[in-house]
Amino acid sequence: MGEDRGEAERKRRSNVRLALVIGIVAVGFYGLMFVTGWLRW
Amino acid sequence: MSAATTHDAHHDDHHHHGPDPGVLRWVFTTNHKDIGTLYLVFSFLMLLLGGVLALGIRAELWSPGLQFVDPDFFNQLTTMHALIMVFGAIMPATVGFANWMIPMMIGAPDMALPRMNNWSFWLLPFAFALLLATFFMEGGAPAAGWTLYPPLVLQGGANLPFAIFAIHLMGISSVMGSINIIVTILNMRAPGMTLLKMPLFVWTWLITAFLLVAAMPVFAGAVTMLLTDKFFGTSFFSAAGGGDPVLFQHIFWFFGHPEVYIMILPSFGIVSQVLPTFSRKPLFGYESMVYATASIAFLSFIVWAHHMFTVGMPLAGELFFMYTTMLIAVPTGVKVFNWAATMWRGSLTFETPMLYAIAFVILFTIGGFSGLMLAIVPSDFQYHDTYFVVAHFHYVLVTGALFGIFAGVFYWLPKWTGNMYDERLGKWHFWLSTIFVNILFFPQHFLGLAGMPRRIPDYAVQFADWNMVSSIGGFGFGLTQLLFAWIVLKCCRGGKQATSEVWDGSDGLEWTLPSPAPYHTFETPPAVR
Repeated sequence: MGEDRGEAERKRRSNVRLALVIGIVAVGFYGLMFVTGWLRW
Repeated sequence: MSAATTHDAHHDDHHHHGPDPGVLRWVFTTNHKDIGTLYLVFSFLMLLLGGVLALGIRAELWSPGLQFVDPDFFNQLTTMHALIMVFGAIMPATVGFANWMIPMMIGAPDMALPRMNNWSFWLLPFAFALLLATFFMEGGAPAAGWTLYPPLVLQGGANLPFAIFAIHLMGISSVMGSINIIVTILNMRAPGMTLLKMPLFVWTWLITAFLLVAAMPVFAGAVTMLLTDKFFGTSFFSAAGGGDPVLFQHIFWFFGHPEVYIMILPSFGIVSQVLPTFSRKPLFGYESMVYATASIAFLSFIVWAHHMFTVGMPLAGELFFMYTTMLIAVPTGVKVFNWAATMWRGSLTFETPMLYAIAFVILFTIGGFSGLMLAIVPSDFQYHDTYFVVAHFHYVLVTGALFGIFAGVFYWLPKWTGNMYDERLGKWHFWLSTIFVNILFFPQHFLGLAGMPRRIPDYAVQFADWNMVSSIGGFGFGLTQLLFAWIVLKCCRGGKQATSEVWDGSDGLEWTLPSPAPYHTFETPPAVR
């Protein structure tokens, strides 16, 4: 039972980590647009 | 693809409570099936609303001259119709399918981040409340087209910040939804469900989710710069201040073209599930379908300027974007070939989902071919901003994306509700929709080739006949969707009990579950051979 809970927690952390990485990439793309706009301006 | 299993569904629901009673169930739910239902209901309401706006357009275009609306309101109708259909109807519908089906198809108990899933959905009603509120403001709703090109869009009334904030909320919702889908698919698959054993619908959504993560922030960035140009004294897109209005078009279409594939790829996936079932054969060329989908997704990021050939760009640029656009026909052709080969010598039956899937293959291909015509630079100079373009993208998005969604609803409705829908009414819905949608959009090819511009409330008399035909098709297609609502409601309320497999040739983990699928499924991961 304890092992199951440990496995679930490990999986939850892994999900959150991956979600954060993708989220940061998305915010990066957002920021990149302003750089593009700034360079052209 | 393989989805054989030793899973026993009875293990899943004996120690769990069901859904909370009352309305709050839908507000606080973190259950992927509930959230899938919310997305699907929301998207259908938006389809009806966007459809009413489209009927306003078709009523005005019934005959030459100005009949019902003034030109500015006509522009509001076209702009809002597009924004509502793209962001309110098609995209949320496909996210609804993803929520309902992906966990059941990969043997996961739920989405990876259920609370964020709830938040992703509940941003949408507020986003659309903001957007729709602009109809009641001084100056009305946005009227510069869904592309929001400056400087025109900056000359509108008070609607701009509302529309932009609405777009931001929709974008945040889409990106969070995509994150959830990617994490679910990469981290939550049942043991033995390797990537190349996943059903094609799951593959198409995995690739779509990556497109969304890359494309939506680009759009958000573009509209934020519009906002700062309008209210904070920047000149990103103002030539007078040293900026460049064409830059907006480049950024918009860098998002806008992948957006087309964001809308169509999930329907590709649905059709790739439906055709094998009713052909009683495995999908032909499964791996090539995966690679073709990935190729289409990659190419969708390097074709954007084909939407703006007429702005004046270097010949090398025109050639590059023309050839890359034509290149998309190769993986798309692989898919169409594989769908045809799946049906070849199969034991075909023609239930409603199969009819929609076959119509999808034929009619989407018509949209694909007119797309190839538009890809040819010198031809595009002629077709640009005419009704030919309108006909093209409606074949792709209505008889393509929407027909794929219809196929999916009829295919999985018995699994969702536990009841078979009324097959006779389903066939009526199919034939009426298919006939009327062609009456609606096919004549628009003729109008465009004859030179009728898009986004105009009035037109020269030589365009009158085909416009009237198109409007008849529009009203017929619109009314037929009330029949769709009735079929779904009737199925929810009762009908012949559906079996677990539902369909004779069904294959995949979702068909090992009872119908209706229990509230909680696959808490014990199934073993996939």
